[in-house]
Amino acid sequence: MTTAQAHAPLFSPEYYRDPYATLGWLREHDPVHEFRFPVGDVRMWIVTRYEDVRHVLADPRFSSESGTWANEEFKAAGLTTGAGSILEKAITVVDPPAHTRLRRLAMSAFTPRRVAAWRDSVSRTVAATLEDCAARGTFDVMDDYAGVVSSGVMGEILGFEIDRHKELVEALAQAFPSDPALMDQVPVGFGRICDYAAQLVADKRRRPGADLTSVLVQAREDEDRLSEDELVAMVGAMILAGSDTIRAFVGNAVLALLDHPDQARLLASDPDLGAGAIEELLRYDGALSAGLFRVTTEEVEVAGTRLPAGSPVIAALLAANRDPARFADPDRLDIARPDNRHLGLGHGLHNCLGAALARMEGDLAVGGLFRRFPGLELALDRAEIGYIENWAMRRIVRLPVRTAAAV
Amino acid sequence: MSGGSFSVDRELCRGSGLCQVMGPALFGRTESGYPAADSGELRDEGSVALADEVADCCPTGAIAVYRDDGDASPR
Repeated sequence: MTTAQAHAPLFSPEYYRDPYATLGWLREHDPVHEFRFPVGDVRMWIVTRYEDVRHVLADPRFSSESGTWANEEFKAAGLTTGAGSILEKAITVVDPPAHTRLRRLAMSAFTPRRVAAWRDSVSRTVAATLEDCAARGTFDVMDDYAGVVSSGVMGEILGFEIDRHKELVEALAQAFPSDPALMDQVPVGFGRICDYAAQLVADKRRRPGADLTSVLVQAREDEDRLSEDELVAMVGAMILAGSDTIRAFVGNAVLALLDHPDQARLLASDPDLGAGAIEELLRYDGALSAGLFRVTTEEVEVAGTRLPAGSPVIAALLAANRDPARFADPDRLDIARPDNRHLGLGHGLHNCLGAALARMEGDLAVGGLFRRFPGLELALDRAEIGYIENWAMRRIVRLPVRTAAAV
Repeated sequence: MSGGSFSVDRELCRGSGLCQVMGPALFGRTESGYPAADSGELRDEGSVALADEVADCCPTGAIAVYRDDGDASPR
């Protein structure tokens, strides 16, 4: 804590505008940084080096099950994800063996083959949305493009009505607030998501379709299958993990490419670069600033810092992905970057279950936009771009662009 | 008691690190996140069952498990 530090405090409005300055300083000077989380003033640590972030995500002594392992201060502040709802036992926040069982059942509905079969549907959604945007000439990437594509794909894959998306986005914002004043709304948000999931499951039980919810209703591993609560929690977790994340990622990726026109031109000229470009865009500015809270199950030492049992830890994915000890010239966007094992989709047990879908959807949506509108340009001052104030998700609020075709 | 073997498809593997966390004794721990071995022997039923679990959980479907009795389980 020196007075000379030239960076914004964690989770302040300035931090959200540019988290990299703060995270870079911490990575260099205080890689296992103790601080007070703004919600509940809870004592916490944030790790920022690539190696340490990976260690935290891979070491079973850092549990995702904060409802079981967190200290009283953390629980009393209401920070346990999904506390008091069936989501408290969702796949994202349980340890083995419960996690292994849920993940096997979920992956059986999420095979690479099934994801490949969704490709046509994603392509159609992207193409239709691009036509709408072309007709507008000037449009908001977040609301008119990324939001429409991500909710359309999500709706089609899970089998729900698209017109419910706006309500869902509101429920998500309630479930993950950054403003301490809104903490009392958190259970309401999780409750609404559980309600959607429960309705969806009931609907698909009556009228099964080709959608993922129907597949999960019928999923079996040997003699095992999901109970009703587990099924609803699983669908709820898919909604939580799969909707706003894609929207956020597409927004960040589009801005990164607008900031690097040479890379955008390269991508538009050669679709074969798409897969590598998505990896680089996930590294450069992914949708998740951090993984969900980890909590120590016993006293643990990380890079020389001793954490007591029950300590909440934030694994800063954004910081790890810009660590110069792992990535050469980390602040440069290079869609042809070799050896790009980033942590944008997490690491270890809880790495992104929907990674194959996220990659495919990202590739089609981001590449498709720049191929359709090679002259795409920002329609607002670069300095005016703002981000939602959420500690876990990095999402641009508005990203107005013009297709430049009319000029 | 019967064993088997497993193989890792390097084209599909993205180094998620899941196999190293779930089955470090089988897949090894490496700095990269990618498994240490392209393939390996599964000496007993317990190892086959663990490898099966890991293969089922892998986000890119990169692991195939073969039983000595001939039943393969790639997805």
